[in-house]
Amino acid sequence: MNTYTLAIASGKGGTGKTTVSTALALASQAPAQYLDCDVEAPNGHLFLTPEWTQTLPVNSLIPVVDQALCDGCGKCSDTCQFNAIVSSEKRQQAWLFPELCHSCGGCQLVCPTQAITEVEHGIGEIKTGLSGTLECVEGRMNIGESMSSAVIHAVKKHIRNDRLTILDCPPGVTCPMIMATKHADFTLLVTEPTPFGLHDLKLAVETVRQLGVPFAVAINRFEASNTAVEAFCRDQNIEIMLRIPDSRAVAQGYAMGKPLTSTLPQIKESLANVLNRIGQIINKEHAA
Amino acid sequence: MKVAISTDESNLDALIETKFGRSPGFLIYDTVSAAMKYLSNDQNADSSQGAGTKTAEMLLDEDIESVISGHLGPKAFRVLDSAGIHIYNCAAVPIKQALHQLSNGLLREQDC
Repeated sequence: MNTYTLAIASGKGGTGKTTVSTALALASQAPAQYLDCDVEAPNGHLFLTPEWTQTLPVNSLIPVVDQALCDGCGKCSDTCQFNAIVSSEKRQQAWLFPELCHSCGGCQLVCPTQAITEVEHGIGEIKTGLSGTLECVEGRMNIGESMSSAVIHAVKKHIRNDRLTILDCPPGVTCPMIMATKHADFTLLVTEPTPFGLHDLKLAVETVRQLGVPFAVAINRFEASNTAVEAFCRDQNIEIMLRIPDSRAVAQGYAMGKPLTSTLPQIKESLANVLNRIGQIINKEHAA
Repeated sequence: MKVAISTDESNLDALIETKFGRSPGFLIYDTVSAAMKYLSNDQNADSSQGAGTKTAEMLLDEDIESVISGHLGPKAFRVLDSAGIHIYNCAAVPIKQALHQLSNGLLREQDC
């Protein structure tokens, strides 16, 4: 039985991460969970239509300065790696910028006059529920917030080691994608056979290699005539585990909120094979 | 009075740099004595975030009354404005021209 954590990521956005991750979650023959880590725009729920049973707030700790106690010594500013707090000795004052703060707690620790306290600041919410027997977890960042890592981290706290976990990751190769993908047992990089798709796939490959997560590629909207992605993968010794054909019917189904497994039921077998193939690779790595 | 002017060279013929937080440096000019000194802003200009906040902090230590630069972003503005410093916006013209405009009240003061 597969009980690993599989991250579905990409370089370029819009290649089909949600298409693939929801389909894999639905195709799993063993108990599974789908975690939507694309917290800026979670859309897995459109295809899985889960019944939500719980909503949990996600908070981060943001410092607050009591100006009456602040003597402008500047230790907080010297400590902050993110330029989120600055001070003036002449004016005995400090200015805090919550939107730059990474909640490390450093300023509060070093303040000699205890002028800094930390307060909880809501940055998003987690919803949990069920789509049939598939456990669904969704992270959603509040509008106006910019630090998604804390919300992604909160989603990943719901990973269970006794079942298959599919992580629908944010696009790109920066902090949100890295937060979602790191420590996964395996990553499937979804790409499309276009020059942009290939360009950004190369960035994603570089990133997961640096993260040390074993990976393979899935080509969505596949057409035999476009061979650049295949040539790249062959060159780099990267396994292509899945090819989803370029199909108007799939696009129409997607537009109507139908998961891939409903539009193309015959693909369920390929998806189950992908999950088992990944399980094999992971077991071999652990045995080695 | 002392005015901080965003620029990349320490002479009055240099052009105003319209970026504030990522300006290469600042000319601190005393309008009464005509004394001036150049402050490098390299360490802040390279920040991944919060360049404006740290640059404003640096200037607060300089006893200035005004700043001449391009339009300041909201974070840098908040620091300087709450410290009572006047912020004047200017295009990329030679500094001596900007100083002339300042003394004639021709520079627009940023209010938000």
